[in-house]
Amino acid sequence: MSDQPDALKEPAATYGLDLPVAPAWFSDPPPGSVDDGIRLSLAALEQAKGRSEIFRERDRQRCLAEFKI
Amino acid sequence: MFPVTIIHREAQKRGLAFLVIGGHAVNAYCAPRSTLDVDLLVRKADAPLWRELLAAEGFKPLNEGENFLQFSPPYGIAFRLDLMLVNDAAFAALREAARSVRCLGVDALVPTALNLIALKVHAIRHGPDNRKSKDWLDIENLVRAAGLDPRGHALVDVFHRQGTPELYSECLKRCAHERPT
Repeated sequence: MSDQPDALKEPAATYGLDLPVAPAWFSDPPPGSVDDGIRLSLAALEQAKGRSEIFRERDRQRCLAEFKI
Repeated sequence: MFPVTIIHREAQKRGLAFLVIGGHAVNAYCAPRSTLDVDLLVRKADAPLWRELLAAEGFKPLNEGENFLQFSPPYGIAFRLDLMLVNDAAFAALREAARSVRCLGVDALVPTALNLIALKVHAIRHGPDNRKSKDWLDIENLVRAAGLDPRGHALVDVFHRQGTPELYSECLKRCAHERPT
């Protein structure tokens, strides 16, 4: 996999629940900020279809183990 | 707007500390990605006080477990509010190194990029498979944004403490090309 860095970096479905992200988001990332992230998130929320299913899916992705130092 | 300003104000009144983690914290370092949650890291010992505070402000409990509480906000953006519960030692360590960032309308503490990576490595190691690709992307982005050396002591130490040798190998595959060695 290490000889395919571009494919590895930008799996198409990775952000399927977090749309929209530009196709070249990783290889050519836009300059950003927390506020830009919020705007992006609001756009994603606005466009999200089946929001309750999206939230259910995210709940299934939760890590339940305790974080320790 | 998501009512973080109210959470911040009421938490200060009650002496409750929190760090912003998750996607909003990652966005403090990296090119932004979207997220549908507001994730806060809090002391597990403070969980009853957080329940009380959030109930008083109209947040509705959705789910909870030994290491998390989840709420929906009474108004504003329909993000979920997730509280990750950690012991005092973990909280103190992350808070001590945290930086203050203007986030969601408040000056909030955000863990260092290295500590955010530690949280991601923990989630990859212990969480379900279907979240791993997203966590790895965050790690790659944080490593690059923070200018971390994938072969450097700091990152090796994070994977030693929170991960496995296999996860560190995966990190090298993904990140080693970011910096010449």
